[in-house]
Amino acid sequence: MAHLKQQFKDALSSIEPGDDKANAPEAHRLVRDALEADTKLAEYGVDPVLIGSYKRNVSIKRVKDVDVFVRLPDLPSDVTSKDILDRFFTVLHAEFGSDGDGHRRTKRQDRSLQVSFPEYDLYVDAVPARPYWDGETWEIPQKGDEDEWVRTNPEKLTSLSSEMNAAHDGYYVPTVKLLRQTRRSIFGSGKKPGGFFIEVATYQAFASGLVSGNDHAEYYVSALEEVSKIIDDYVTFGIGVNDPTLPGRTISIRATDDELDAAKARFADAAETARDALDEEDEGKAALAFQGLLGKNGDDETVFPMPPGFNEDGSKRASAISSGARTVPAGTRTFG
Amino acid sequence: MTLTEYDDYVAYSRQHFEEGLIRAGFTEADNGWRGTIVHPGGATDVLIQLRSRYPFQPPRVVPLDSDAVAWSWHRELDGSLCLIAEDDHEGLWWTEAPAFLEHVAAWFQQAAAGWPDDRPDLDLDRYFKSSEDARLYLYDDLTRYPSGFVRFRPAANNLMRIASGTKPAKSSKHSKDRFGYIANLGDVDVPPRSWDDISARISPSVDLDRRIRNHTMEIVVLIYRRGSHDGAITLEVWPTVDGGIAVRRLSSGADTEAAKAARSGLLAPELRGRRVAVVGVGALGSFIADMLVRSGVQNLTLLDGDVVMPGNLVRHLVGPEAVGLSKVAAVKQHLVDRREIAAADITVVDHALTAGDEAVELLSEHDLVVNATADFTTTALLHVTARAVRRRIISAAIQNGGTSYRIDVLPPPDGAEPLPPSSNVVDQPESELFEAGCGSPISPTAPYTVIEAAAATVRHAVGLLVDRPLHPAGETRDLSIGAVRSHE
Repeated sequence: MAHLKQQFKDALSSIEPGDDKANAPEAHRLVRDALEADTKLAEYGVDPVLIGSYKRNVSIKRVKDVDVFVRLPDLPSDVTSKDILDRFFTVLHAEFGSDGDGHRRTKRQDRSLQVSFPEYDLYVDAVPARPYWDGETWEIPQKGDEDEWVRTNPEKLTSLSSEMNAAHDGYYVPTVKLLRQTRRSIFGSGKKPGGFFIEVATYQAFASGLVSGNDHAEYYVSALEEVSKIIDDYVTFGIGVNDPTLPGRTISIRATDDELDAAKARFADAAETARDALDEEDEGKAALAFQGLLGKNGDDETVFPMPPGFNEDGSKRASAISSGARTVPAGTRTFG
Repeated sequence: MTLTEYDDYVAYSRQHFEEGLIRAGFTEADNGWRGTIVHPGGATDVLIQLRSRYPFQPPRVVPLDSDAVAWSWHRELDGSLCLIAEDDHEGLWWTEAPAFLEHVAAWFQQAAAGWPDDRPDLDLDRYFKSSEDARLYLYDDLTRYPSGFVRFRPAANNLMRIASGTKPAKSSKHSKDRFGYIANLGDVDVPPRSWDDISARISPSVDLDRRIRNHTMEIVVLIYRRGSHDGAITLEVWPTVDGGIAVRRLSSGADTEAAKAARSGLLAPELRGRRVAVVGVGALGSFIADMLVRSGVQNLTLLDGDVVMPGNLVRHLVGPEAVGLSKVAAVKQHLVDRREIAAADITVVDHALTAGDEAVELLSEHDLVVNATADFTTTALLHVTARAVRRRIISAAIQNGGTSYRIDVLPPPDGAEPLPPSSNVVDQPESELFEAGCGSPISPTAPYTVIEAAAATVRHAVGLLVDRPLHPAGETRDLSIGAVRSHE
């Protein structure tokens, strides 16, 4: 068995967002300030809050987008989703204008407005939200043009995430990051299923009680196996992944059948490789396998390092003295 | 190995060991790795720590519940298991966790069995914290103090030397003496770790506790037995404010013949009664005489007509204080001062061997004559005389410009062939060094060559003295360091 404690720690620091950790809050603040300064939105009780993987500490290097959930508790019911998105566009475009290439920095999307921060190489997604009738959850535009709204509860996921992390001695959040990194490594960024789906699937796996371990390696392998089963169930039987924030609702992957079949196969392979690596006696071989699964980070650096004493190809370095070697050729019981 | 390679090796060893612990179900805690050792007597929870010198030091193992594991000689003062005697290991075998854990399990098995094949290490010292008094307490034969009452007197080099006596009622004269008591604990199966443990083993009639409380006693020397071996430990004791008695270990050691004899080699007892003559106590002969005495020979005759010159010193046993003395007197003084051999046991003859009858006398009165004169005529005289009286000499010399030595047993026993010629005088370096006056040129022999040749000679001499000769004819050995570079 190879647990490679230090290398898992190193891998986690390698995927930890670097400068983005400082830039993301700054970009968020600028968008927030612009929205709060608008009198119309102020009338609606504008109250933005940071959500998304960044907020939940499960984002990995590089952080590309930061989600701002713009709560509008006093939004009159006759303001359509199109109206509010239009208003957001007006406010944000007035504030951020165009970038050096003459492109508008504010871009309209189905549910939100995306503001680009080229100097930070990241985007802020501002999502307007109005209260749901239950007074606890929220609604966001589904398709802005048709005044269709969809229920959501993003802040709930933030608190569920912290609770799950505490219940597993701090292993939940790092495990989500490692699984997101594995997804990115084996599928590539922008491919489906996305990081959010993996996160929610991981949450479900943890919530089912089937994920356990004593260290990062055991948690990683155990979670990867369970998530692989969840993906298999989804692709084979169409069993959706529960949205932990809204009982009864499920989350699906928007992907083609081919993409889904590939996702199922690759995650199954990854889970098997990871299990074999954990069972492997030779630390070098095990590290090589974990290295393959976790790939490279957003800065194109290898995420999982080789343990000391091993070459990059996983073979044992010749200079490492084996325990049987006679480091003292004269042997013991000598006198000097 | 570069430092990177070293770091890599150390990091590898650590992680490799920790992987093994994880596999064995250990989990990392703040201060080490916690896990369970399963052994025939049950299961014990332990903490394993990799210390800073790991892998060049075995891991430390402490039972989590210290008192649940029996105290014995096999535990350190801090409760950790005494797993590996300092010189009891081949390689760094503990770097493989399974082997190490097996060893720990074996410790528990042995402990349960009462340590049947125990090695009697006499190291009660380990079980007491050391005193702040950094002086070295020396004791001699402890049976010399039947009353048990002793004092330690300050001496040079921060020493405290033992003498008999109790603390006088009014003490001013020897105010710096410290008074103590010698207690015999007898066989010690479980090492005592506190004053109560010790006190319980000492006859109450001595009333040590009272003497310690009224400050008439500050030192306790404990004699103990472990298996068939005796040990001793010197402790400092004083009353504490809460009415108890505190104990700390003092640095101490035995200043006895036995302590030295134990280090003189296994043959020292056999050499004790032997008489040896060393003819020629120059460079080679002086070191031969010294090593013979160190090795146990206690009766010597030294013969040489020379005087110690300043230039001799670098290759000679004696120091500058001997310049001007005859070499025999100088060597005798050196041995008497340093080796505790009685002056009466060293006979000196301060002239060169001249006549045959003197040679016959030397041969008949000694068990062995060592000829270190490197003088052709003296060697010839001794050899012929030895053959005539059916004795043997050992003749040693450095040859070939200090690049080899030759040791001859003369005459070789039972008609054995002498060693073949080993001199290659034709290859002598071109320039010889002479000092003012009439004499032989200065030999280019280096001091280390002298001492190596002397040691080899003593080894052959000891072999002959105990009737186990190394070789019937002797030994020649090349000691050169590459080719001699000539100066243009």
